[in-house]
Amino acid sequence: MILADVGYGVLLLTLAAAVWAAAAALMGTWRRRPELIVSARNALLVTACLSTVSAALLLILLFSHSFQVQYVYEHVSSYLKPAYVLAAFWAGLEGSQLLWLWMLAVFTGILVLRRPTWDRDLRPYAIVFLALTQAFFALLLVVVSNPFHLLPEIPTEGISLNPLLQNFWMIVHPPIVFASYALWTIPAAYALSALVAGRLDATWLRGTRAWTVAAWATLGVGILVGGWWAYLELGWGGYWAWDPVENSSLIPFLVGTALVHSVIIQERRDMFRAWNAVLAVLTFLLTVFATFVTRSGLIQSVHAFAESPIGYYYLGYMLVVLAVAVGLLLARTRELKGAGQLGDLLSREFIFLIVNLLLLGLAGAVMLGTLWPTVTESVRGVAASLTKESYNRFAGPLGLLLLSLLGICPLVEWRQTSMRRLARGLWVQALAAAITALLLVLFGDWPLTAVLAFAIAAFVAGTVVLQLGQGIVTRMRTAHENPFAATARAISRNRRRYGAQIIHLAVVLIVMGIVGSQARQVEVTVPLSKGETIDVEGYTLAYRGFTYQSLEENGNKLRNEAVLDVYRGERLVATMSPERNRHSNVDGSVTEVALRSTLKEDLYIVLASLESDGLAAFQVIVTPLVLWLWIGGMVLIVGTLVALWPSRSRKMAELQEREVPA
Amino acid sequence: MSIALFFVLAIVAAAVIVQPLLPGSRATSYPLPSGRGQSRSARPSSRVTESQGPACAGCGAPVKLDDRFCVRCGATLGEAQETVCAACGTMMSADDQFCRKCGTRVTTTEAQQ
Repeated sequence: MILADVGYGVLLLTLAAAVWAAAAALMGTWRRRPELIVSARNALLVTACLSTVSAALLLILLFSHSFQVQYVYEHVSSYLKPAYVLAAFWAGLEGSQLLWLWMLAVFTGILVLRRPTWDRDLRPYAIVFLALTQAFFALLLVVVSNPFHLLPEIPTEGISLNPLLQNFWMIVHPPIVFASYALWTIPAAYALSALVAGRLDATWLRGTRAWTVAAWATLGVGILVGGWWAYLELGWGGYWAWDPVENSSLIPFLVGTALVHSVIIQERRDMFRAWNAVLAVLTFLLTVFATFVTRSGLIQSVHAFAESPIGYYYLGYMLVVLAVAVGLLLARTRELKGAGQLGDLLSREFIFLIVNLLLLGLAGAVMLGTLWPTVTESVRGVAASLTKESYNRFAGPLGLLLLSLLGICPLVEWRQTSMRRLARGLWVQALAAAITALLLVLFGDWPLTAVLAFAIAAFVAGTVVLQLGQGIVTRMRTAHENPFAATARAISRNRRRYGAQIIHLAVVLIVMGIVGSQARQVEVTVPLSKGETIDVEGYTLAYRGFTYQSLEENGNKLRNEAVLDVYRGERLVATMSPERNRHSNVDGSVTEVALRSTLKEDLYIVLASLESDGLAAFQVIVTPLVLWLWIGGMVLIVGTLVALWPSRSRKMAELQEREVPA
Repeated sequence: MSIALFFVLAIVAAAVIVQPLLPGSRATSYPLPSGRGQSRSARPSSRVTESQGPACAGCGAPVKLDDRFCVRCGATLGEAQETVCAACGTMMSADDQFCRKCGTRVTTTEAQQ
C-alpha cells in the first residue's frame, strides 16, 4: 500500500464520517438524545482532520513528483518551480474538488467547536446539511474525481502545469474563491435550519452575519484577484471578458450582495423573512452552479478546461437542495410572514427593496447571457453567444443606477423621509458631483457617459465621506479628542456601520477603475526593428534589444524577450521587457506582459511576435485608472476586517454568555 | 508504514466519534433544541448593567429613545431609532428593553440623570 492508497482510504473514511454525522444529528434531534448530537459534532471534527490529512498527502505526492499518481503526472513536472507545485494542487478538477471539501470541513469544524448559544435550536439541522454537503463532495472524490488515481505504469516525467496558470495570482485565486464557496454553505445551512425549525425571526441572520459578510468579501476579493490574473497573464489588456466562468462567479456575488443588504431590513423592520432565506440558499446553490458551469462542458469557455460527468452530479445535488428548500418554504408560509410593513415610497426599506431587485435583475440577466449559447443551440442548432458589448450595454446602466442609490440610501430614513429633508442632506454631494463633471468636461477628454459615471462616483464618495466624517468630527469637537483617537473610537464604537461605509468607499474606487479603463483605453500594434522608437499616448518607447533562443531543446522553456526603454519626454521612466516564451508542454508561444502601473494609467506591452533577426511586433495598451480596481479591492478587505473584527465588549458579552450554565 | 498510518487514523477517528455514545460520557449535558415550533425566549445574561442606554450609531453619544437627531453630531436617528447598544455596539430597535447581545438594560437618558 503506497501513500496514494492511504489518501484514497482517508477519503473513504471522510465520506463515512460525514454520512454518520448527518445521520446521528438527525437521529439525535428526533429521539432527543444529546449524545448522538455530540457524536455528530465529533464526526465533523474528524472530517476536518481527515480532509486535512488527504490534502497534505496530495501535497506530499505533488512535491515528491510521484508521477504514478495521474493527477501528479498531469499537473507537475520535475522542473516546475515549487511555488507552482502548490498552484498545481488546485489547477485541476480533482485537486480543486479536494480543496473545496477541505475548506468546507475546516469551516464546519470551526463552527461546531463552539458550544451552541443562539443557535441551540438550529445547530443540529445545520450539522445535517453541512455534513450532507461534505458527504456529497467526498462521494464525488471517491467515485468520479479521485485525485489519488494511479496510472498502470510509472511515467518518467510529468506533463507539468499549464504555463498560463504559472502565475503568482493563480496560487492565491482558487483558494480564495473556494474559501468563499465553502463559507456561503454556512448561511445556507442556517437558512434551511431556520425553515425546518420554524424559527424565521432575525436570530439566524444575526448569528450567521460574520460568516455571510466573510463569504461575501472573500468572493469579491476572489473575483478581483481572478481579474488581476487575467489582466497580467492573458495579454489582451483587459481584466473581465464576460466569460461564462467569470460570470458564474459574479452571479452568486450579486445575489449575495442582495442578501447582505436585505438582512438589514429584516433586522430592523422584520420584513422579507422568506426573501432572506431564499437568498441565502440561492447564493449557495449558485456557487455550486458556478462549478457545474465550469466542469460540465455545458458552456464552452476558455476556463472550462475539464469536461467530465461530474457536472451531472452537481446538477442532481442542486436540484435536491432546491426541492428541499422549496418544500420547506411552502410548509412554513405562516412563519414566513414578518411583522413589518413596507413604508413610504421614500423610505430606506423601499430603496433597499429596489436595490435587491436591481441586483437580482442583473444576476438574472448575466445568467441568461451565460446560458444563451446553450439555449440557442438547443432551439436553433447554432450557438450564439453574447458579445462583451452587449453585456456592457445592460450591466453599465444597471450598475450606475445601483451606484447612485448607494449615494442616496444612507440619507433616507426608515419608514418615511420628506423630500425636503432628503434634498437638504444631499447638496454637498450634488456639488461634488457637479464640480467633478465640470472639471472633467473642461480639462479631460472623456466621453459623456464616463463623465456621468465619474460624477455619480463623486456623489457617492461625498455621501460616504460625510457619513464617515460626521461622528469623527463630533468626537473631536465635543470630547476634544485628536483626529486619530476620534477616528479609532468612533469606528470601534460601531464597527459594522463604519465597515460598511469603508466597503462602500471601495466600491466607488472599483467603479472609478472600471469606468476609466472601459472609457478610454488606447491600443496600438506596431512592428519595430531594434533601435526604432514609437510614441504612444505621451510615452516614447525605444526598442533597445532582444533575446531570442532557437527552438532546439533547452530545458522546458525558451525565453524570448524584447527590451524597451520607456521615456516621458526626455526622462527615462522605466525599462520594460515583454516576453514571448515557448514551453515544452504547450503548442505555440505564451506571452508574459510587461506592465508599468501608476495611479493615473497603466502602460501594458505585449510582445505579439519576435523574429530571429529581432523584428518584433508590440501591442501597446494604455489604460487609465486600472490600478484603482486593485486599490479598491484592498480597501474592501480593510472595510470587511473593520466590520468583522471582534470588539472587546462583544467578547466580554460572549464570556458572560458562557458563564451561564446551560 | 502506510498501512499503519491508515489504521491509526481510522481507529482514532472511530474512537472520537463513538466516545460520546459510551456510558458515562458527559455528552448528555449538550444543549438540545427546544420542541419544534415553540418559541423560546432568549436566555437572560448573567449580568445586567443598568447605567447605559441607547447611543447614536454615528458618534456614540447617548440619545433618548424618541430622538430624531443626535444632539451631539446631528446624525439622523430616524423613527425606528438607528441606535446601538452603548455597551457593545450591537444594533438595537426602539422597543428593545435589553441588548440582545450583551444583555445590557436599555434606559433612557432621562432615567440616568
